[in-house]
Amino acid sequence: MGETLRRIWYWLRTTREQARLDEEMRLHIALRADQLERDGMTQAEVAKAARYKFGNQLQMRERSREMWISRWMEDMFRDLRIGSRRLTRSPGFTVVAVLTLALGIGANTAIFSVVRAVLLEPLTYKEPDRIVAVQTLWTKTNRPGNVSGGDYSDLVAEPSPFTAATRYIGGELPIETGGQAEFVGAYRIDLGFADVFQLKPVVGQLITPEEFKTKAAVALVSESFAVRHFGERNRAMGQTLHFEESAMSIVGVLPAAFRFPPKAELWFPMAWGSTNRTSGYYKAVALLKPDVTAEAARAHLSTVGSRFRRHFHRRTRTNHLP
Amino acid sequence: MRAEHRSSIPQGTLDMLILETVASGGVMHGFQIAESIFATSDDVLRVEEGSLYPALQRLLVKGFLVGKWGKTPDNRRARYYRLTAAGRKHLGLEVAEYLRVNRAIARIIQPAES
Repeated sequence: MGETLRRIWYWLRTTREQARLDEEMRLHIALRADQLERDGMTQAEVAKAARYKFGNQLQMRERSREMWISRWMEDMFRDLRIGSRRLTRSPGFTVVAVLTLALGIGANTAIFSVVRAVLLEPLTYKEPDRIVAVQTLWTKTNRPGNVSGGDYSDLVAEPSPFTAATRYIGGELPIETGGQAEFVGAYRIDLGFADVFQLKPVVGQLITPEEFKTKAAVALVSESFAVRHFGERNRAMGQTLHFEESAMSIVGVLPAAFRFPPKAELWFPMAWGSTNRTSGYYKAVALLKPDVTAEAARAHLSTVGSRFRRHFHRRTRTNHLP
Repeated sequence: MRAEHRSSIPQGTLDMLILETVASGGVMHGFQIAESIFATSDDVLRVEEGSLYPALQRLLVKGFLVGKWGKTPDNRRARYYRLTAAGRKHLGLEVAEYLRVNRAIARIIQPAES
């Protein structure tokens, strides 16, 4: 079997080959872990070290896959460019070139679908098609933007098309714990957050309504954060996190797969004091009631928005986008 | 305890080291190849796992190795690699070239004593 055929062979069996590669890596990690354990490490240390030693699995998968097709495609296109200059002189070569080109296009599409499946993780929360973003539509510019503190309470007031809604604000914040500091996706959230995403902690509990009311110094962390800092998720409970001047203690751990906003690993209660209506600070998401369509919710919010305009003589109208 | 001073594999030699290891070791899986290179080099050359599997894929695609699934002694599934005739031929060329370059480098950094 020639090299070209072998590449196509591996490429045609991408999914199977990927599974095999994953299996090889898992075995490697397991054998390395056995070895480290024999050297006298504790289990948590072993798991961490074995994974660390293995490096970035995803990157390695990418690089391995690159061996099958993409590097080859680059070479092929370079050859084609050179070759195309000879097309007019050599009709036999034309047929070969056209066939190869067709293959190249096929490969490109396949790689895209693999990348989509592997790199863009599926949404990890329940009923994503019922979760909508609530935004302010600025009529002057016709652009959607954040929601102001004053508007927000009206937007989610009964009668409401939402089962639950939450505001959030945050980003990469420097968080220090156990003598280590790192930038972590950290977000201030509202009471409705856990209901919008129908969350259940894997350890501990959610932030209680009472804690939201008193703006208690408590936080939820993701399992990935807990394992990275404390070795295992159970050990995260009660640990202290420092952010600027404040200290928070961890009351619950959310599943590793849950990431909202996309980079979030830490969530804590917000002091939602602002009733300002002119500047939008907050992002907001909501869970539609089971029988309410996004279209119906949009219509409802439009009505609320028109009421705002009459009451406040302002330039804004509210809307939402799924 | 293992040696403290581990070195990374010189660029371009990983494929040769893998082929050589499989050539002398017979049939091996990825972890055994990495461990064998480490042990045979007196704990100096540590193969980055992140480079090992891409390299093995490369060698499969080039037809220098073939892979076959089997079971480890403790009954875990592993892909065992074996050298092909083309792989053996390629290894010969690689080793010859490597030694030639190495001798040339040695002559430069270690001039013959007078």
